[in-house]
Amino acid sequence: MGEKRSRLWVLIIFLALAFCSNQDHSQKKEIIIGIEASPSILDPRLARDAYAVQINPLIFPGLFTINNSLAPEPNLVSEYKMLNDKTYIFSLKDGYYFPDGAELKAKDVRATLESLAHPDMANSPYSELSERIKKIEEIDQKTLKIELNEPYAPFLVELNLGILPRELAHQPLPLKPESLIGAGAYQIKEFEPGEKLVLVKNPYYQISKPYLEKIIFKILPDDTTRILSLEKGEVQILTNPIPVDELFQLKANPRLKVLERLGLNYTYLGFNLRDPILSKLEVRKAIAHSINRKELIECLLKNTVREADSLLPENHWAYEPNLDEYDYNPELAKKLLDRAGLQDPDGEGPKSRFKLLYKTSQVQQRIWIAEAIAEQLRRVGIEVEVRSLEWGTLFSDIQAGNFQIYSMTWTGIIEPDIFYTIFHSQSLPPKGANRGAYSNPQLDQILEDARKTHNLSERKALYAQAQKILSQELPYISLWRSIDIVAQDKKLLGFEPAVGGEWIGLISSEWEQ
Amino acid sequence: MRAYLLKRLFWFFPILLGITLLVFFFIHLIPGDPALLLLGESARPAQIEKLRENLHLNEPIYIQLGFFFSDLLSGKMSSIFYQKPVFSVIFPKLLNTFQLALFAMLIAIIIALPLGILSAIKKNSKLDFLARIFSLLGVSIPNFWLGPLLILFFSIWLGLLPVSGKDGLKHLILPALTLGMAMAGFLSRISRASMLEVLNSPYLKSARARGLSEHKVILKHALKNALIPILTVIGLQFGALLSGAVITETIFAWPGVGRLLINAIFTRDFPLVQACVLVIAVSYLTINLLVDIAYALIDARVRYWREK
Repeated sequence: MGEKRSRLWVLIIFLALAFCSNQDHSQKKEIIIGIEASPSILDPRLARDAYAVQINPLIFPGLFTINNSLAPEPNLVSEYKMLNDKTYIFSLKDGYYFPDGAELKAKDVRATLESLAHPDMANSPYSELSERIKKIEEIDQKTLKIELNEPYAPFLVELNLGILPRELAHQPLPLKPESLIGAGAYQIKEFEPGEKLVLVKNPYYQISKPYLEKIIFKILPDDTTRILSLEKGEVQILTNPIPVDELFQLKANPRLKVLERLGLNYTYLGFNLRDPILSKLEVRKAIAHSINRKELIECLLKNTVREADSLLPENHWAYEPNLDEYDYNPELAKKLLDRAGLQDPDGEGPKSRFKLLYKTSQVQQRIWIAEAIAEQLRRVGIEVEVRSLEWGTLFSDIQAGNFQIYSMTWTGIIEPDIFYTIFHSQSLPPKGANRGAYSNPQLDQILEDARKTHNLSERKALYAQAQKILSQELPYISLWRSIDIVAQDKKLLGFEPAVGGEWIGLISSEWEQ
Repeated sequence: MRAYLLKRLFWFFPILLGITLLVFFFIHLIPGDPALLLLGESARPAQIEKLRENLHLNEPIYIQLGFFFSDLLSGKMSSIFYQKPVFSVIFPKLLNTFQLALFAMLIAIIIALPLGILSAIKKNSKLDFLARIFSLLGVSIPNFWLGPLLILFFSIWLGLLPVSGKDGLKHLILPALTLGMAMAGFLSRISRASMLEVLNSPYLKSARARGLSEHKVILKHALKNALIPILTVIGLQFGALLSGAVITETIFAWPGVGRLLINAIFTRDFPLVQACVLVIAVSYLTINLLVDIAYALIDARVRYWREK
């Protein structure tokens, strides 16, 4: 009887295991990636969320791509030349085919670019591109001439726009995700927003031979579930956000590999220069010297970010390393405040020199950071009231200039022309993002020149000047820059995370046999 | 019975209208410009203006209300995120939530009813003590803690069940168990209290005096009457499950309507938020209506028409 019962248990356990067994993805040449939220619109002309922007290069390659120094690099283009500072000639590479077997030609590029002028494209992040282009000509099937209205150096970066076949580019919006095709290594097989996106190999792709037949992006909004799924092997790669505490657990797992690289998200403290106190340079410098960024990064952010001194990351082609530095120095801060005529009425006593209002979002970590900064400023005699607001209210207040200091993050910084959007005196909201109303005619001129300068070293010199001016005048205090983290199954070989978090490295990845 | 039904149905529609109006006006209380919020920091004025026009935000509020009702009734109301009619987005998710809620409810009933009844019959025994501890734990343990714990135990340590997703029955077990445990705790407490009340009533004493077996007394006489409040609670809990499974759906990546609603809030897809709230409210109302009808069928005292 006892033996019979134990046999029955063995059978039950065997059936349970068979019923619940995991599939071996390495055998099936597929990979499952856990992402926090769903890409919204996959149409490369309209996609603006990070998830779509990172997935799209697998499906819709653009004329140019962004290299590790964040400079534009030819992708679909074999060579290009400039006839004058407004006219470009682009020759297309051979070997790029759409999944229906048609070769990518100049007509497709033209149709995609021209479709941006359609009124339905007003929401496109590329809609300004159509305003810049004066004329597009097909010289032959593989050559294209594009003339701009005026010289615009960031043009090539904007040409990372994914190209659609002409027939598709002309279709009225919205296009069904499954109908979208590009000349990339993969095509969309299934898209269930909020659930999963399944990509399969483009059978006509000839640029290389991708190993992975299928790529599944599985949307797992809960941090813990995402990490447990990776530990169990149900997903094989994860990227940010990974909670700090879980990161140590992942690093300790012998089955996993954790890669880290400098990210493109930049967190700063913004000043309203219309404010009579904050318009004084000494006050801004004093605040910069009062903030102990090292302490904040170590204690609050557990070293998941790195100190920043410019809007541009250190690996950016236009990054200027010789900038004014503002080390933590509360004594110097006090002297600067005294010099600005803002003496402490009772020395170390409870009275403050002046009071500031610090606006931030309702994200808990942001509130902690704001409170820690408030405490650091209190040590030099500045009283800070932290007000955390719902995102909509915070954003409206900041756009309207209704703030003294605030903290936010710029994401995905690639093109240094962003300085124009943030600091040019003509870029006040809603046209631009100069929310603190910073105005410097010298900087304005530099940024205007940099927009029109095509020579990379000349542009670099102009942006170096701009960064120096900004580090001296401090309309922003640079706080820190994100670190992108990728945790992956060790058996996946050859995967290199791209600088903007794009998944393009999967084309050359394979499972260890 | 018909009069009672008509009376309940008569109230159904004004409540529905009230909810619809609340849904419309609440979304307009959100601070900031919805178009700006939708497009984010890098949006240009032309883009914002275009979206404002598409969302009828430039019209006076009563015109917006008119558009809202006409879009809602004609089925034209479209999700900004999914770019298709809201109801075609919601219904498949609602079915998933319904499936999860039903399974969770089954688990809860299977555990809680016998436990509650036994606990009442054997009042103050060891079994009763354990059952009360179970119900206290069930009610107190939050889903966001129990869910990952079950994943850790069944998926990571034992490797028996998948962590998340929806691909067959095996994916349903853990989320249903997570949801079902909390409900089982509550339900076993209600079952115990309700059974205790019935067990002390005089008609059971008379049943026993007539020589009926204890088995028959409990199952045939006591249980039927004890079930009335339990049924109400089950109905209300089921309604709450349809809207309140958000955390469990998020933990287990279960593609239900709660998760859809949260996604819609985060992506500021206002038409979808409005439609989700409406659908959840209608489901809740319908279940309440069905419970009331069932209640009337079981309990003669509720059939108001006899009172006339």
